[in-house]
Amino acid sequence: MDKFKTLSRRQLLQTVSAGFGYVAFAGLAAEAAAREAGGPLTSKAPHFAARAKRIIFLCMRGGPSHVETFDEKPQLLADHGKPGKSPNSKLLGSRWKFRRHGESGLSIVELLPETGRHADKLCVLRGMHTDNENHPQALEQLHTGSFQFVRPSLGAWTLYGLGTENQNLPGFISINPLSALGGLRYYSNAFLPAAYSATLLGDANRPVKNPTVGNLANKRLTTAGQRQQLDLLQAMNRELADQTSDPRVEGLIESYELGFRMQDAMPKVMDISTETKETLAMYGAAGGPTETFGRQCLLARRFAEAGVRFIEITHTEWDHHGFLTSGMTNNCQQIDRPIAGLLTDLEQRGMLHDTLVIWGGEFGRTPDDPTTDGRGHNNKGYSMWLAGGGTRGGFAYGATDDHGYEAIEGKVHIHDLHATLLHLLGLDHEQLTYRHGGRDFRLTDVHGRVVTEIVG
Amino acid sequence: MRWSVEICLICVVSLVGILGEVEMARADEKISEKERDFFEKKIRPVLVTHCYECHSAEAVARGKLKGMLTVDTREGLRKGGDSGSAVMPGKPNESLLLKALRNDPNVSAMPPKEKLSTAVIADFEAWIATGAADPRDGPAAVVKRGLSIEEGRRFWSFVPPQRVAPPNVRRADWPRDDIDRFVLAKQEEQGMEPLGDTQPHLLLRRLSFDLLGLPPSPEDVAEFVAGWNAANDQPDRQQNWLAQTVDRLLGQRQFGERWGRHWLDVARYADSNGRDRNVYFYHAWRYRDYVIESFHRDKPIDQILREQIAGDLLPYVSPEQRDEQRIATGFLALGAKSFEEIKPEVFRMDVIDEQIELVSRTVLGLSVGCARCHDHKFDPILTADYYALAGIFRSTQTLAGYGPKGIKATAHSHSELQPVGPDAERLGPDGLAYLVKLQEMTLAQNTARSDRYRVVRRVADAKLKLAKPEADKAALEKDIARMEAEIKDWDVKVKAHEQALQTAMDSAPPQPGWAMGVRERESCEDCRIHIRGETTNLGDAVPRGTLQIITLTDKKPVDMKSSGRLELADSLTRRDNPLTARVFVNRVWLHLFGRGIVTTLDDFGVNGARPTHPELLDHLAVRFMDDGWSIKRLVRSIVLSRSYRLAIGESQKDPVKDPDNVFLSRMKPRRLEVEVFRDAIKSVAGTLDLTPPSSEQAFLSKFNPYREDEYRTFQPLFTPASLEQPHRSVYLPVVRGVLPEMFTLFDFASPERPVAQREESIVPAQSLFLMNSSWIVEQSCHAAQRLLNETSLDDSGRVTRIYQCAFSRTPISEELARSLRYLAETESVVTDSKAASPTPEQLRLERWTSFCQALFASGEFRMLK
Repeated sequence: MDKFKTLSRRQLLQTVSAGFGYVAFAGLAAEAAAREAGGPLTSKAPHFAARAKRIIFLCMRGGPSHVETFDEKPQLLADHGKPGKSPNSKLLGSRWKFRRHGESGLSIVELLPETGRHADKLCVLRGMHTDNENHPQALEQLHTGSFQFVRPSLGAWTLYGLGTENQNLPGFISINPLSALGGLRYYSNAFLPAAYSATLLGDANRPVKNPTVGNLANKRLTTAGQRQQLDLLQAMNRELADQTSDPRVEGLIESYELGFRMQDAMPKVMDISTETKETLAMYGAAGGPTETFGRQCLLARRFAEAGVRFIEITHTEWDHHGFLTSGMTNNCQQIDRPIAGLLTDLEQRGMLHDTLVIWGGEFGRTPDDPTTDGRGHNNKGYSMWLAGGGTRGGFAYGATDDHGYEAIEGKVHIHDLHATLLHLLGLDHEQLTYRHGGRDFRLTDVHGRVVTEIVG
Repeated sequence: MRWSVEICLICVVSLVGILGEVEMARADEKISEKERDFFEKKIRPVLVTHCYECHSAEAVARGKLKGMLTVDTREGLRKGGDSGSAVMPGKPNESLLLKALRNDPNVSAMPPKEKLSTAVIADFEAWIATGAADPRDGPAAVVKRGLSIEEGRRFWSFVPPQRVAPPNVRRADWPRDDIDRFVLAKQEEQGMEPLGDTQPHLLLRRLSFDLLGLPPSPEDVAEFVAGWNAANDQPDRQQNWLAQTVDRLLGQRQFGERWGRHWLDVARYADSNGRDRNVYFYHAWRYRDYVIESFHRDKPIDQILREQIAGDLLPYVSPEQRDEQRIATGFLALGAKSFEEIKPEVFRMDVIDEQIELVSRTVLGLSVGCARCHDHKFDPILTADYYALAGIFRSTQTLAGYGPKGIKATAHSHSELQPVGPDAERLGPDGLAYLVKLQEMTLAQNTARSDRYRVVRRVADAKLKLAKPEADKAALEKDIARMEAEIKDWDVKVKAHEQALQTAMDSAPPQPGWAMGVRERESCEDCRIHIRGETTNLGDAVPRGTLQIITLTDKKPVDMKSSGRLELADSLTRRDNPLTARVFVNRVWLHLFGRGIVTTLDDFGVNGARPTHPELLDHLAVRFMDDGWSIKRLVRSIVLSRSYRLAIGESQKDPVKDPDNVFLSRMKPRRLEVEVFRDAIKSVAGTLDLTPPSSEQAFLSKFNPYREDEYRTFQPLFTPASLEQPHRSVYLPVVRGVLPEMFTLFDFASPERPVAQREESIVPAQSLFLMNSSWIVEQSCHAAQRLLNETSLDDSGRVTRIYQCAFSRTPISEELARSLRYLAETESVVTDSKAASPTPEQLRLERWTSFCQALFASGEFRMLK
């Protein structure tokens, strides 16, 4: 490595592009290049010792029912059928029993038996609340802290704070992202540098089995042929750089090299055919109702392992105004094994202690409904959970009232959640600011309390 | 603890009260003994106990002040806070203080935690009814706000632009225009001097991209360079030659497309709503074409602004002019709306908010939006200003009808559009009735479809249950049979709806053209202040009007029968409006120099940047207005200046003192915007159709608004790739959230909000697009084929030709040699084992393709030197 320090980035690229052994050098060259250039994605030290190095966010779009997943409400069951607070509604108890799991005895709905086996790793936040009860706004606030203005996503802030660990891959990847309902804003860099926006894999609106990054493969040229073409191109660019001494030309040269490396690195990371049968089975990725989410969770683990800082997976659709019974049954089945597989796998690979897994939707659901098989939106009280990354396992923090209408204890607002997530990443949410349009912006705006109680 | 503080407060305040009495003779208000007694016994203690914590000088000092209201002086109480006056003597029912005490649902209940007893409230009522006698003289605590209107009028950007004599410069022979004197004087102050002029071929390339957004043809370059060189260092002749060339470029329609697009950025132009229901704006293109045409015809900018805000209210001499002015108001209707918002009043105020922010940002370079909830923290913009504007837009009907989409009816789904075209008046009413009918029928059809689907889902559920061992099979099977019969009934009903809709469409009455826009509401009204922006928390109504800071003299009250848009448009385009012309010329400067004179393009307020060349900015603004707000004359004078023709900082002789080029001693390379980049590639490849698409070719017209099954997802059906068409990029549909891939990758202006200056990102996804996308390969292949078809040229000639087309120059010998070496090698293509191996001709085309692709992908192609 030392000998590379004596080479300038330019020399290095020239060596590399001279054509001999560029593949072997690519990784080293990339790291050296990033360090020297101090580019926006260079790995940066946190403000203080971090508990988590990366995040995997399992986003349950639609707002899963908390009273039928992680917030058991015996009183709601007892009062089943009595008038509810919403107009013309009746209270609806959970259709499913809850089971106590692990040493902690954390209570989890019977629809999630495999997740239940990891109860002692889960830190359930039962006092979540957010400001808006419409999907688009609540999703936007979940991701960016704001629903009125276009603001950078949590993933973008994370990259801004920490950079990323693999210069051959994007630092923020969103799998099965939402493009509907204003979705792309959930993953945007907004005013932060563009390098912090998410690389999108697939589209929740047009699902395909094996989503990929756009234009990653050259269908026409062999790798050697493309390298020749790139050498010609880069020679022209270097002449331009010499003529103009414009840093943007340097940036251009680098971005071609990163693109070239990504062509190689991304498909390798995304190729799950190298995984064993046992691993595929563990995630439920080999087939059946768990296949899609299972593959996505496996992909997330592979990205995490390769050094990607922030990975999000969206699972739809949890907006159960009707068909609650079948909807919850199917959805829970689809996610249960993949989540259990992900937690097991991360643990086995010694990654769980510094990988923070987040599960939750944009809000929860009402304990009552005018129908008998549906629930409305509830932003005043709902549950999310965290696992790994320095959180306290086998622990439930906060509570809603007896029926689950509102958070009453250990309330955690989205701003508090964001402050806490940044804290676990070693970032002070009040210090992580970006100057734009004449003022300093924060993910948490002027709010946010670090929920120290949930730190393990 | 809290209690004892209050006791102290009572003591202190009582003391002040007593001292106040001594001064009473000088106070404005005479107050009787009885009145004072009543106040001291019944009113003051309540205020102290329940209100001072958040509404007093003490609260100000401790940073605990709420709602900008202090109640510890008479002045504070009368003047009021964010919501307006708290006490109106003699009018208890109109006094906010009493409303708050009574917990009136329209205001915030006070005190926040407990309602006071009816006896106390009765005391306050009696006190206000009898004149609210208040012995507490003295000024209210000074609450720190943004600049006051008076202070604001002294702030640079609120002082109207001044006519400034151009400064003297030492190098008197350098300037070609007064602009240059301002620029050079600053450089001389800094001990700097301008770099030399750029080479003529680069100057023409710069002009061609800046004015038309297209590369010059090799023939144009040759002609221009020849003329320039013939003038042989005679400044006047060169200047004439340049002026002739510039005038030719300004006359081309492509100028309107290029500069119209700059305006469309700030107008957040889009062909769909975006946000939660991304319905198409089928008729938005008329506004786009209006903008292009107006810039092409050099319509005065003040007129364009007036038409966009109040075109429907302006006089006209022909139906064409009437249509044009109506279409212009599409500007106000194109915003992204939250159709999912279920509260009609919130929806309405959000639309108004978007319009206020649009007008203030695009025309005035100010953000007014924050005044929706509170006085601007920095700029002299009050909440009252916001609601004065809100009244104008509240009295305006927004015609953003997106056509019958069959989405579920909400308070805001409507077919409101305005008819245009020769038969607008005759066909309009029936046409609109027909649109409404289609929308209703589509809705009925879709409701039937979802009702049917609900039964289908129930059948599926029942079948699931049937599979379970504990199921009551007989009952379930009976249910299923019944439901399946029900589905058959639904099938018939759905079919009937579909046929009815089809019949209605087949027998459509003749339709006028439709356009988005605005019109006056039947009844116009002032808007009440929405306290903290809440629609349920209303304060005083504010008379309609514009921002006080730009209302200079002879403020004309709005005629209560009209919305006030006309008056607003006039106030924005008056000569003494301090902002409009400055903001506009600053944007033009940005597009020609890559940097605004004020670098915060849409913040000319206190937090914005100060101009680097304030006199130059004023000179340009005044000159622009003197020249009849002509965009072409403005652009012409700038591009004919010496400053515009400087070389980029390629010379290392002059050490770079000024890395950001604040003093414009050279030109900085600029990156082509995505439309220009795309058009340039297509132009070199020979695949660009310079004729604008006809209305029939308008992309969205291919989609039948009444048929598309988008009501379930509210998302467009096509993919970014399907948006490709041969026309210039300005004509590609701007569907919010589904932009053409290249637009998303290369920093197209987000159509969600006004964008005065685009981002400039460099990310690997762009490189991957230029390395691998089928689009770039296809364009490169066209370019290669075009070269190979030039049978009169040998390969050297072909390389020279493509360099001329792509870079406006010939290759130097090393470049030529390198290119020929590259082209001589065989392309290393991926071959399909089953396919026949490529012929030498095919491989030659492949090699030329990858060569052209490298040129397109190069920095030189994309960076304007």
